[in-house]
Amino acid sequence: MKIKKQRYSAAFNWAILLLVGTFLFSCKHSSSKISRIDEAQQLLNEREYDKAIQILEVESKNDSTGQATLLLASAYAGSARINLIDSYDFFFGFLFDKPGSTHREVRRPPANSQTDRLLFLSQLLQAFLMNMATDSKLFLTIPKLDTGNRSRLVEAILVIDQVKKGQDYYIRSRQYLLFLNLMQFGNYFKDLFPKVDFAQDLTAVDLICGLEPSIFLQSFEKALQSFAAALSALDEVREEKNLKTQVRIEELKDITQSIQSQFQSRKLSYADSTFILKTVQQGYCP
Amino acid sequence: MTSFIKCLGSMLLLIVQTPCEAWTLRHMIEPTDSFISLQTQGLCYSIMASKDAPRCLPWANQVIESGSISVLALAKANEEGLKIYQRARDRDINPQFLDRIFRVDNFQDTSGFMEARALYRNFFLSISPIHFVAGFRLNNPSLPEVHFVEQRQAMIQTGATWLLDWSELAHYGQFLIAPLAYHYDRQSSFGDYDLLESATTPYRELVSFTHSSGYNFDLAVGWSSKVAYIPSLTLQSFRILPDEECQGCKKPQLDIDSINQSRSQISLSWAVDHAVGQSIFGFVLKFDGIWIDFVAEQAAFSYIYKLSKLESFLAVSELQRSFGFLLDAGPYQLGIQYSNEQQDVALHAKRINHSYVFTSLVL
Repeated sequence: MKIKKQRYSAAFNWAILLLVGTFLFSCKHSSSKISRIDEAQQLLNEREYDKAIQILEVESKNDSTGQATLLLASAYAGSARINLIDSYDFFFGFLFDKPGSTHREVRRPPANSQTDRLLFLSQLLQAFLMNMATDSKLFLTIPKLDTGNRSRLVEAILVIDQVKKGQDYYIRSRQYLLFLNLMQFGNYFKDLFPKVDFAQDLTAVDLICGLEPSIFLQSFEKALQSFAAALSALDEVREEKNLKTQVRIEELKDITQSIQSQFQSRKLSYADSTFILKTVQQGYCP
Repeated sequence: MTSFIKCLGSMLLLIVQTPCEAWTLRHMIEPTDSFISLQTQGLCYSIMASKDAPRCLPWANQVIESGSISVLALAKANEEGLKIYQRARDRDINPQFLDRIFRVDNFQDTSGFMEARALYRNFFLSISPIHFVAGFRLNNPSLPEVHFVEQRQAMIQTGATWLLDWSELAHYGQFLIAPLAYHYDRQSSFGDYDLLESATTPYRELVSFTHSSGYNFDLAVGWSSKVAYIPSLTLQSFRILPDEECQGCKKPQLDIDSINQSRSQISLSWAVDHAVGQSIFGFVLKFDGIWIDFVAEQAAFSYIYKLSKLESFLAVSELQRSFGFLLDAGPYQLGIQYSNEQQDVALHAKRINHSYVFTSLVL
């Protein structure tokens, strides 16, 4: 009987030891470690963009895959109130939704004639606006950014451009660059028409008549640069993913390149832009 | 004994797990689980009533004199996940809803199985048409990323539990040996992509699919005590044949591989007869692989109180605290468990409340 009792007390000793051990564990916080990237992702989920940027700026300095850099760009974009959920319709619709062409014949200019060059630019602009008018409703979904948010968007674009070819996140970064440049283009494009209500079902005539010379001179080239940068990123994504976009994206690409080469050959003056707009608006606007 | 000392040493040293890039999904219902194993975090898989004291058994099959056929279902219920699914289906999505998803509910998981089981004396045969595990996580409202993984498998299992008397020790208890073998047919898929990729990439390229089939074995050996205060000891090895790893294959960010990999555990339990009712309590210590890496955070303490047809459960480990009830009304059983769980911190920082539901009908 005595032996039995000793056995019981030994068993109880074990039990108490294990009981205490387990409860110690139960009280301890989880031992799993969280990486700085995970921490930043959690902050992004909570929309604590500034705190996420602080972490990601450090992490992106030694970023072999490009993940931290992509997240940093998204943090800047998020802090500028840009998010893909709100603008997904614009992104998808602009690139894929409406197959078809709005092709317009544009006459090539004779060499060395300044007036003819401006007339050619007018035709190009008209073709560009007619093409864009088909997506005027999509522009409504793009948030109009104030100056501070625009500079954050510029920061996001500069950051995402740092992901290099060969890094794991390169193609993802090109897609994001495409998206961010379209956002920037959308903002500059909306700037061109201060009196136009994009909530309405707009026609090309509404856009043509909404142009003003001073604003045109200020914003059109910037809009075009963003659009060209978006198209350049799109080219890389298309090549990698064998994508088929709308036919008119190709047309817009041609028009954009032609306008840009005209801009590069001679900087426009206020008088030039007035001439161009008058030519474009002639016959359309009262 | 050496490994047991190692465990205690590890407990005291509080070994910190090295961080891993993938997020390990925890608290999944395994195909060999039972409602009791979930309630006790693996201490008991079934409880054998005897004239001496109730005893824990290592697998879900009871040892009964007569035979029986039963159907059962066990699932990890996910109320929040269902609400999200319903709202998404009804397109009832507004900025507040999305904000909450990213802020609070950006991770959801579920698992469970259905099974038909035939028992005869020490033996059992079961057919499980579906065992499933699924999880998803959304990240970054600015550039939304989707991470999901799901696995479905159909299984046929067979096994036996033998309780062997040793003449000199027969008064104190019995030795136990319980092998289990099964064949599985498994399909799984996963995707890790952002919303921009979903716009520019066909679904078949975004999501990886795999299909495999094979067989595996589990084994439990131990000592089943008949005497109160003398513990029962069980050593269990799960999925003894190592799962073939695909070299160079893309791996999901949400890792559910632990459900297919070998693991083992040691459990120590005591049974006590009270004036009213009976208790079982004990500890379970778990290892990754076949007795390779002790997983301190899964060490659990469990307590069962049995009163007539009602059993109540309490289990505590670092990663999970739970309590629940099982009503055993003879031809049918109903059970519910409430659980407060911690996932991998990198996956979900906050603890999550879950419930597990169980029903079984003896035909």
